[in-house]
Amino acid sequence: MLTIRDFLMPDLGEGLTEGEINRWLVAEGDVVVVDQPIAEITTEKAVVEVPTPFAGRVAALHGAEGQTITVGRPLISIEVAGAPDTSPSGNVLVGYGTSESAPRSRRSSPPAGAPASHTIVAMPPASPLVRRRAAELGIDLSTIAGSGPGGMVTQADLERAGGRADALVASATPPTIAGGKRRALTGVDRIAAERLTRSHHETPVAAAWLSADATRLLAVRSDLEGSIVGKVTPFALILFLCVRALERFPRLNAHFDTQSNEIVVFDSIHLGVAVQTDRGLVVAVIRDAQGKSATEISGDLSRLAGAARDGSIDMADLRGSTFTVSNFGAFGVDGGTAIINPPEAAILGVGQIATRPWVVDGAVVPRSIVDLSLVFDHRVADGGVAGGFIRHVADLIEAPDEALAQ
Amino acid sequence: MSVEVSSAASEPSSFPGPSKAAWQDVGAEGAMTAALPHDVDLSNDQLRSLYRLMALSRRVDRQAINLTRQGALGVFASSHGQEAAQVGSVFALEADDWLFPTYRETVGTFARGVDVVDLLALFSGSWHCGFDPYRYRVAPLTTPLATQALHAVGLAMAARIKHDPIVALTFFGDGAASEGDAHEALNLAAVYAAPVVFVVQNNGYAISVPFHLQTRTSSIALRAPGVGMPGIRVDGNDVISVYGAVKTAVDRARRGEGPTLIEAVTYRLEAHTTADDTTRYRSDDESTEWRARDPVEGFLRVLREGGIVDDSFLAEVEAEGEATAARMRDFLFGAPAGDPLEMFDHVYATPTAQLDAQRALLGQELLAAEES
Amino acid sequence: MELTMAGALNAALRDSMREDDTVVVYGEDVGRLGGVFRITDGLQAEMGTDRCFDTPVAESGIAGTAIGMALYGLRPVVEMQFDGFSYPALNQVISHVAKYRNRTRGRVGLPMVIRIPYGGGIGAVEHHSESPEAYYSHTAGLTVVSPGTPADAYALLRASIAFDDPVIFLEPKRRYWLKEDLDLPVSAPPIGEAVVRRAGATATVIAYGPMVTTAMEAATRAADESGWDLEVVDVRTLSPVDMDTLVASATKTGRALVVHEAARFVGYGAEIAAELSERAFGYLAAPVLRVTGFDVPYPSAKIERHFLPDADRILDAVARLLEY
Repeated sequence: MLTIRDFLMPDLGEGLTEGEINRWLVAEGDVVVVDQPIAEITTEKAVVEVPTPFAGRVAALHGAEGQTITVGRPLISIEVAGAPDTSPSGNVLVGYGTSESAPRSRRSSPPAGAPASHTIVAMPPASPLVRRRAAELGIDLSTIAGSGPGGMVTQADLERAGGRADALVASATPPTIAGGKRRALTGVDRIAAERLTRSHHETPVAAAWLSADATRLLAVRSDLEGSIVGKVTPFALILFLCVRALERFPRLNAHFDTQSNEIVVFDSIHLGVAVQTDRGLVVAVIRDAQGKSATEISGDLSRLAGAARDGSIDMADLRGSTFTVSNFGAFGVDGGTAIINPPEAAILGVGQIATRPWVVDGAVVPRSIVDLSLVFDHRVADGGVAGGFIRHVADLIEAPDEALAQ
Repeated sequence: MSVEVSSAASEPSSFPGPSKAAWQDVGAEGAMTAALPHDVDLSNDQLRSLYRLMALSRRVDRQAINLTRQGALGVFASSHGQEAAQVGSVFALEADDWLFPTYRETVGTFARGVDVVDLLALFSGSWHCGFDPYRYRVAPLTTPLATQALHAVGLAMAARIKHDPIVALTFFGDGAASEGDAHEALNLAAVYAAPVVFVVQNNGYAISVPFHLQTRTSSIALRAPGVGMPGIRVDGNDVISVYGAVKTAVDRARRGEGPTLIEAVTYRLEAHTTADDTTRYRSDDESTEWRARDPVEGFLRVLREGGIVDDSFLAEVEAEGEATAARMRDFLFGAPAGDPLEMFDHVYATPTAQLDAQRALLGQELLAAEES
Repeated sequence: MELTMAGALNAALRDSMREDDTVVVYGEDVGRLGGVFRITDGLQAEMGTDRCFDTPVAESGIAGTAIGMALYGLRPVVEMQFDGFSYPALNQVISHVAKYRNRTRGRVGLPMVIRIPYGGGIGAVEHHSESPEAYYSHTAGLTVVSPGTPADAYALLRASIAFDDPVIFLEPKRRYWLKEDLDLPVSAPPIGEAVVRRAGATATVIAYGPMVTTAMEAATRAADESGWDLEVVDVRTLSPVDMDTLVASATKTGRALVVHEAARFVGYGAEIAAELSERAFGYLAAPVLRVTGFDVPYPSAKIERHFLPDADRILDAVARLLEY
């Protein structure tokens, strides 16, 4: 059996790339033995006689005298006896590898085709540590003027953060009033004050409000009390109904990302409930409210409110709300323009449930009426969405049976 | 002081005969004697052995050149024409003695018993040294010039401290003799009476630079009294004389009498390496002249004349040569590269954390290449 | 017992030679004289000229013969008389000492130590105050060690002699006369481990060799003068370096600097700074700074103190770290 073996042009001088055929020493059809010189090759360095590594009959000469052959290209083909050699044919290029034709890519990471998932923002200079801390605290570095070298935002700057370094703050200082008692804001109050100020500065808000007839809701609630469901407050029921309304209007359970100009709708509904304590107002969080029954929400609410008041509440329960409800009714107030709890997009104020004159079937009758006031980030929702949401909450309050039956 | 042309041999050699050697001694005062005769004790078996080693190593050398021209070896430094100098020298060593070769001693290391395929690993690009030094008592083929002479001295000093009666033999060339390390090695060996034999193969050229431009003296052996040791100048193409001179020096060292510097005058018939072009710096006439004094053919003539070899022996040797050459072709032509990850394995006795991380990185690259 | 660093090194050599009769000490003037710094004092008298001997002036020869000795099974501990005179041996060190194990696929390891007094601050003439650690650290296959205290000098030299790979042992010559209360033998910390000399929180000062003392001085002054609590890390083994310890410290304090006498450009500190940036990136409040000598040949004695880093220069750098 005969096969053709190609003898590839070798590198004859430590890194040469080509050689010129000075003279052939054999012709096609000649029989050659191993190591018989078959050509004189001229390189940059010398004239070299090249011997064939194969014995057999010369099948082809791959170039004329005077022609230049690139290292690695076939020089001469010899018809040899024996089966085709499946092993890499001839490491004629020491250091250049064997018979693999195309060099293989060895990139471990794919070339960047899709746009990069990370955001490149024009940020003020800040050390990696400061960036990390800012991200943890949810602080937008672009709102802080840096006092470090080259305008870098320092850790001290972060600590002072809260929008104070915001360039939009009016340069005119308000008149000072002498005297008075000073009480420094610390801890929870201080953080709350910073967040409120920032929210107020950053968010273009709008409001929508209405009154709803809660008479039926109260009746349903009495019924529930007698049943195995147990004691629930009207407020807890309203929270449950809010959650249902958010499921229909998820845009209000969201956040506006100023850096990327995106509305980020949250996956879960973690309901923030403002709880009044001795030390001030705290927002306790009922997590994953979308999966909870009215009873469970009520239970969470009492537990959290109790814990908040006696100071035993977990930090985890004070974080991560996606939508907040404020119980104005607890103060005997009907409504108001609450301040959105950042990074949320809306806050619902629920007023007291009071007996008021209401029109039913053309007659004026006393009914239990509750006012609802929604303050929302107008970038996230327009009047239609906001109005639709609050209307739906009201509808659920006025006819809660079906929703509460679940 | 007159400076000879490159081939500074004493006189046109006529091989003295199978047991006759001759060499020149350099005395402590610097005077070099004429070539004095010495009797050399070699049996007919030993003579045949010598011939076999020379013939085989010539065949190996020739095959290595061919393999280089076929791209199987990246480069090769031929010892063609220097077989007597190398084989004669190593033949004088005992089993426990050590050899410190340069990159040109393929012939000498082959004669010492190192497997020819393993020997050529340096040139085939598979690893910088393909054999275990402790297995053969042969140091790796060294590329930086003359540096291994110091290793030989150090080993000899250690052997002396341990009272082991072994000898270290190191080769270097006329070019390497100009290196500082060559001088330091000679000086240190003499100071400590180290059991070292320095065999300088003066083959006339350091790549393209002829001997008369390498040094102003006519003989490297003349340095010996300058550093306080005996010197010998011998016809490097006469294997019996080389053997005799080196054996004398080896015995002297083993007796604790210190080092010797031997200059073996020979000729590099091929180019410096296969990447070199001799037509640029020397004439064909010169090599023709030296080819007439071919060490292998000359020795063969002597052995035939003495009836010490016959045709069947020569046929055996030739067959063995062809078998060795075939083995070289089989193992070296088309030999694949080894595992690239091995480059991390032997840097330290225990790989470091840094090396482990880098090894992992290359591992990823290799995987990515496989998958692409 | 109070020992100087020189005394500790001497004791380490003596104890090693007593315990292992393959240990051989040689170099220029180390035998009869006991070394120009007396590091090898008394060794020849006790061990004999086969175990401790003088050589001709031949640095390449000293390193080259050590290779041959190690090849044959001895453990040579050779001396380069001064940093500036170690250079003739660089070829043997880089071409062979560093490469022999790799070249022979692990069959031949060279258990040898090359001791080199290095560093400045001793009012010497040219070539006697070099800091060549970067050349050696950059050479794969070498292990580079530099003690900063007498205790470490004893322990690390013993460990280096017992080590199966070749070690370049850099002795901070200006600290030869530093004293410490030592109960010998001090147990050897492993080669390849750094140590926190002084724990702190304000910033990390990474030092080795002669600068360990300087760094500790800076830390004391920092506490007194500015209320700063500096953490000082002693590298000890320059290569392979214990990055885990350095990274842990930089991560903890968020601010780090490296101090060395050697010139700044492509100095050892550059490697540490780069590696810390990569591994502690998210925790750094400030860039990693280097406090170094200048990019000039080592100056003459009368102005060398302006070249050398001192506690002032370190404290200025700490202040810069704290600006971030």
